[in-house]
Amino acid sequence: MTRYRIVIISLCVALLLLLPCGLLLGSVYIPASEIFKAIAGSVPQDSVVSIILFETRIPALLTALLAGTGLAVAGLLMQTGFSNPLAGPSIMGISSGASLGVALVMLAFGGALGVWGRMATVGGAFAGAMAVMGVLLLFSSVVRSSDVLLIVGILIGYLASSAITLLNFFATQSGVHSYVVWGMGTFAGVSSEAMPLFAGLVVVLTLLSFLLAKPLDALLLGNRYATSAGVNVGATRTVLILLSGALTAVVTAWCGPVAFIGLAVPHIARMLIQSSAHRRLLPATALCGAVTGLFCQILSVAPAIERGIIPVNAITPLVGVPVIIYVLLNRRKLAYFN
Amino acid sequence: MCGKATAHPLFFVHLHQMKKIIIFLCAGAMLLAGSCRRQTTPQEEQWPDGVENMASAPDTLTRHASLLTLADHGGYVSADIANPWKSGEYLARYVLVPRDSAMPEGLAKGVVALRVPLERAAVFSSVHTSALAELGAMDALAAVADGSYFAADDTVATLLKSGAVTDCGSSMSPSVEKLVASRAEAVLLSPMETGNVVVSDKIPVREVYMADYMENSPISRAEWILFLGELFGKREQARAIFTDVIDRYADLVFKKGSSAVKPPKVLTETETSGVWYVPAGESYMARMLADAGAEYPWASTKGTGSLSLDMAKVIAAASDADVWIMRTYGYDVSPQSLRSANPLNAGFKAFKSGNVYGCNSAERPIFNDIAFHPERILADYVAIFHPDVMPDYELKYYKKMK
Repeated sequence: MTRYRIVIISLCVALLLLLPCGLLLGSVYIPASEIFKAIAGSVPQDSVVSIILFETRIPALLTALLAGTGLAVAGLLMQTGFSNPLAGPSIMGISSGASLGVALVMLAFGGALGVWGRMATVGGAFAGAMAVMGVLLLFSSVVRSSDVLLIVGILIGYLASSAITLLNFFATQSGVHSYVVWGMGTFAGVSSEAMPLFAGLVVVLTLLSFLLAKPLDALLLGNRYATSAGVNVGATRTVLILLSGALTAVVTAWCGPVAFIGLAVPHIARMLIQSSAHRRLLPATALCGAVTGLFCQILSVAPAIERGIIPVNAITPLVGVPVIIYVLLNRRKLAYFN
Repeated sequence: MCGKATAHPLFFVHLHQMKKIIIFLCAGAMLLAGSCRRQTTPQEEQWPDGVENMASAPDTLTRHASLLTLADHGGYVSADIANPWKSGEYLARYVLVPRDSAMPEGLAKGVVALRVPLERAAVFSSVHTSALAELGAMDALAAVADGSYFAADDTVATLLKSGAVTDCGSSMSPSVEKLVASRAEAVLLSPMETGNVVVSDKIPVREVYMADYMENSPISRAEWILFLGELFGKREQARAIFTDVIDRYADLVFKKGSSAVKPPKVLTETETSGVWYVPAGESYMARMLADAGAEYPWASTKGTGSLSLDMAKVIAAASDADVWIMRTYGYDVSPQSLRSANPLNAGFKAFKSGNVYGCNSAERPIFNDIAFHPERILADYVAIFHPDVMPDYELKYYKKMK
């Protein structure tokens, strides 16, 4: 059995182990027997156990799994597209764009406005991320260097942060508080009603990313090689920005700016399969992202049986930072990028 | 170099795929934009200019609140909450139907029906749990948020300790699981709360938005106790409390009018990290200062929130203020604390004359009382600004700096 197969099977097993853990753990203790009964349908649908399980716990697990997948794939697309191991959704300014959109909704227009406030927040985040992506696309038509484009993305992020600082300064205390809490990230932000839309977008965008395996492999060998291999580098880069931007926008809109998964997971996947071939790396990254998302979700509620819940962004750096430090220290040895 | 197409067959495959991807992304963006569009109800379209017009309807139970309209329809009570951030729109609409009455038919879309009195409710603000205690409705309290912030002598702390009431964690990121497990029928919360956590429509806990803190006058906000009275079946108690508040508040305003003391110039709060937040001229606090007979340097400014000023602007406008009032948390204000915060604080006239009053909000329940008992805080203000009309009054919230 090849290393790749072993890794994929191991990741699938990890997913299968984490899912029941996620069902068992939560801020309310539910005995395993009750969970089995609810899943088997032998508990009334309007019982507390059924509602907690089907309306909060399972949607949160699915969201964690999908958001982890989406962010990890977006991170991989950006790292290969910009030939930079430190590229990622939060570095490119797309998360900052989403944050600015939410800041406008929450701070400038008074906050989460009642019943439709959450959809306004989702819309604000999506519009903000798309706006930054649009600016990046405009620049990508005139800037040929990937490094320069990456720096442009970082600078756009700073501009967005400047506007957010201004909005925060003049906002009300409760507005600032709710914006800060949004920035901490959560996988509890997708209701069962919104799940089909969220899941559909993440799954389809991820599958579309898989179609880019060959041009991504060509890009790994440099723009000149890619061009000689018949890859239209400009068009590929445009599609990369569109796909990674859309994935980031969708996840950020519902979950807030979840940090480090997009940056760290592609590296974990590369180290596991010991290959940079995207035909294998993309599925491995997607699976690894799903496992990481689930793991972070379980950690964020596991200690909460007595107290509240802890934000996702307090957990993700614990997973992400050691990986990034390892990658930086062993950059020459790992040598993913030319 | 990178934009030139070649005749390589691989390129055409990629280009074809990319076109499909771009078309899909555009369609996805349009789908999301459509799902984010706000639904307006026919009632919202008919909403008259200015929510205050609604207060004059004949069956209206509320008279002062600008954001809340309670109306008795015989078999049920409607509660319409105007959107404080968007004139002419609703934040939420409720019908409160007694448990033994039939549900009214033909409710407009978006109107939430609640059976009253609520038998189990989650209440996320200590301001509202205090009101519940005063109304005698604590037996309906099922859950709270930020449980660790309740003072040890608060009834809620005792109920939390005994396990009779559930703590859902942070009000900005509550545990929905705990909320559901508390079996609350409704959760009373600020429209800004729950942050990015979703309370799905399928969860049997209805959200009741308490936007009382967005009212711009003390009496308007205090009238929201009538809403709590309707929700918990305590109409008469709520009305009695509110009537008493109005009487006492009016009495204090009248009393201050008889003072021989010229309205003192009043400075509020202190500088925090280089910014001095003072109430804007149309704010709740500015209104209370005016009612207490103070000359407020920023009374003519626009806005209902606060102004963000630097030290220079505050010195220019209020260095000659006669009285300086401020709220602190966890300590009593002292000359040392003010000097160490900023040596320029010692230059204010009020500091030099010792007319500085601090309210330690960790010890005094000013934030809980200011909502439904503004007359209690007003009494402190009148006694500070016009001591001649309340010579025997002992301050309840503020303490003079020693």
